[in-house]
Amino acid sequence: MPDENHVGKEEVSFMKPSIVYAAVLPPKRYKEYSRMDMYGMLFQQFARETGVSKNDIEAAFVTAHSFGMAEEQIIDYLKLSPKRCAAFDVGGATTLFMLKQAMTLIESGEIKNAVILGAGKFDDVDREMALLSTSHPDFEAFAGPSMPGYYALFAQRYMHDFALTEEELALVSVAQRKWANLNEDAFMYEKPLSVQDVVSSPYIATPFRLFDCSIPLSGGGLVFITAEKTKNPVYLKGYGEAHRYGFITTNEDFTSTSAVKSGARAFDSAEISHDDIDVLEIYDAFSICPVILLEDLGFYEKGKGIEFYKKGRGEPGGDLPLNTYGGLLSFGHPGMPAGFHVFVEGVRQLQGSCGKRQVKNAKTALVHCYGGMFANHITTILTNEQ
Amino acid sequence: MSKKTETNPYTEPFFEGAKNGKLMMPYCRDCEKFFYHPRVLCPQCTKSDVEYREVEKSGSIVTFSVLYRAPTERFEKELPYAFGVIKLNCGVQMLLRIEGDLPSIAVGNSGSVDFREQHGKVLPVFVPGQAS
Repeated sequence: MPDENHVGKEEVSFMKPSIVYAAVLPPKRYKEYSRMDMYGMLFQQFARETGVSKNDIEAAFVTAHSFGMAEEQIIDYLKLSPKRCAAFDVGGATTLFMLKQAMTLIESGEIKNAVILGAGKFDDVDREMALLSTSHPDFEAFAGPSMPGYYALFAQRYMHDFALTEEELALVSVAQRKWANLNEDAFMYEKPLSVQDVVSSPYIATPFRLFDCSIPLSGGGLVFITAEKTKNPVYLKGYGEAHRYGFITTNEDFTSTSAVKSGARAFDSAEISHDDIDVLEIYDAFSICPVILLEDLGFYEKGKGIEFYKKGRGEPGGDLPLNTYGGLLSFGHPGMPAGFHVFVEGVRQLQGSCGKRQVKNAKTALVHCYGGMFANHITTILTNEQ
Repeated sequence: MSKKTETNPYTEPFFEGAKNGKLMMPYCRDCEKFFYHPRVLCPQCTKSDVEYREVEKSGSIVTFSVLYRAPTERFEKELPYAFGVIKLNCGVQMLLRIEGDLPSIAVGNSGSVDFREQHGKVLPVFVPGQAS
């Protein structure tokens, strides 16, 4: 029996885009494959598992490459003819940015679906180009900074201001490794890690030692978003983005980031509270990052983020699981598409497809990614409830 | 490989000053503030009422890191070395190599900017403990 309210709901639900497929290419060295081949592998798996034809894809967004043309590469390699296609670059936050663009275009009725993807080879970068693009080429590069060094500037100042010790900071990498040990796709799946292992590993950029740093590898991911009704949909419930500085020289706060704003914006738009979050996926290129971000996102007071680790809250069996795939620290970091690793896990937890590492009854996930030198922040809140 | 630091009319006074041991900073006459890095406009007001003024070289370490892995090959022979963010008394921050005994470098250390010939150019460094 048709009921006006019921009909209205059906229309809304049809137009509401949802994420229906999310997968990563497990990080490895992939020496024999080009980045284009990796797009091919991601796409093949997607087509096989969903039955979606490439001819039905209306938008394709891809993480940019240093010398451009990523959009040409996917169009050419996969022979796509979408209504919308572009390469984007917000560093590690690019995945979440592309997700928002896809959602907005679908909600506006311009397109019915979108595929977003990225592949990177962080284990094979032109180091000179990396230095001159992460630093101001004329006024920073001459000092010889490195990417771990830039993030170490935050760790150093944080440890100074809040008396955080190296042993305490090591808890972050140890917690990540526990999740990685449950995930066969994680690069460090078979390797346990102790606090002693972390604090006796060699310095890379003080205060960071080897195991405070993520593992540069090759990998990527692919996500499909559609307005059509399908099984296991995941919805974008909240989104917040914020930017504060560009190059690190002008950053005036080394213990807090613009995640304060992106997080508040995401919670405001989702109209939920912190208590509603069941699982956290937070970009962790270096051990200090999730400590600062747990505070900036409002889960802890400034200076107290390490309590989360001391209590084991984010570990397997904890009350607020964090980076359930092993994190970039133990799963692997493919460069700009690393956001796929973080985001795909959030989606899959809500789809209930995480096997041994599945968080029971996960309904709401917070996924946070950043780009640049901890500069560009995007927070999303996902849910599997309409 | 050594990259040439490109100069243009907006950045040249900084590097020319360095050659003469002077720390020259762009100053916005409209905002009455220094800014760094040098550029075509004042990033506060986006106008170009800018002149260079010589500033005091003294400042302190906001934060730093000692590197044991170099970003690129050209820095490998210099390892280990420290770099950090320096807050100058004139209000701007600079990202500089930090000289001196590595274990004694700490947040808050004061010192001053000096100039060294590096990779064929005269460039600023920070020397903790040195009065300007």
